[in-house]
Amino acid sequence: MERVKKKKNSSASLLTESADRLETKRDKLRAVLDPKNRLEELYCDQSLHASHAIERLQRCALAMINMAIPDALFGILERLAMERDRAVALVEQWISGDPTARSEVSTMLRNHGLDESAIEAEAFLKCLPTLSALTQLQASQIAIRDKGLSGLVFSREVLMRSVHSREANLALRQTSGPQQISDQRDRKHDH
Amino acid sequence: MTTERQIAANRANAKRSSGPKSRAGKARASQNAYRHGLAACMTMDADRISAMDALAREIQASMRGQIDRAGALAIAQAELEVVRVRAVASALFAEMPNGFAKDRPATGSQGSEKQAARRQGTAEKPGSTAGDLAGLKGLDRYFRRVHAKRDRAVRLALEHLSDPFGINSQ
Repeated sequence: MERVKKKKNSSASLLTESADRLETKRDKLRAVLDPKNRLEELYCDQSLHASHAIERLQRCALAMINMAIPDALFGILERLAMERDRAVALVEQWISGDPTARSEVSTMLRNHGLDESAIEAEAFLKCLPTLSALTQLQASQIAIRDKGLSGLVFSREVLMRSVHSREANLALRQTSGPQQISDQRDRKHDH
Repeated sequence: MTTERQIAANRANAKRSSGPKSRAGKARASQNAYRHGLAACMTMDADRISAMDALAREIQASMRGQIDRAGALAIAQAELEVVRVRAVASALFAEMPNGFAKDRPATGSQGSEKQAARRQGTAEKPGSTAGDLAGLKGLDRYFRRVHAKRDRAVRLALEHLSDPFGINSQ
């Protein structure tokens, strides 16, 4: 229950995000899409929030891979028959950016026909289930973003059609009076 | 086939554990299946009603009377539901860094323990990344539902605009 309460009381943006950034993005998107009314603004916001969520998911995926890299390197070193304690020490040095450790790892990988992309690949494999879940979530957010845009197009088209038919109606009244419209309506009912 | 002995054991076990007895325990247990409350209909308290009313007015005003009051209210209500789902999704996202910290693969023996736990499905618990991702994935259907509801409300409200003279209507 505490978790649910916490959930409902928490703010919409994350600790690492600034509300200003979201506002800037909103302004930019509105400048591009130019919503004409509140309805179009709702669709604009839908696309904005979905693309915001997509960015978050991309950051999550990146973080997951980065976090899996030390474990991936350790796994590779262990498979290359390095002693456990030595491997742990080397991974720690490699993470801290020690040039000696970096070159030692590079040499070791090269000697076995590998390069640093092997570490990335291993990290990918380690968090593959999470990455595929994140990709699925991204796909659904992309669909929501696109639906927001198509909703905006739909409402704009309907409003434009309505304006056009009003104008046509006005023109019709000016040329032949209101009788023609009612005739048209009657003909439709006869069918 | 179930033996008499098994039936007796089941009855004895059921007597030992047949749910909470106290009122507080029952109240707490009644919330066991509660996750985010999105499956329930949105309760319309005074704040929500005023928010819905304000949004409906904004929609009507910005459309220069092209949408009637009932249509605007339906759109506003559906939009509040969209906002509610969005808030829960954001909150779930906010909890994910905690899950990252718990799930962070450690080098050496800790890493293999973590993998073993993952294999046993313990990483699916709430608070873990996998658990939060499953929670986010579970929100998909609510997102779809509320967006579809709002789109329906918009279509209904705009229906008369696409054919203002009823010429093409059946």
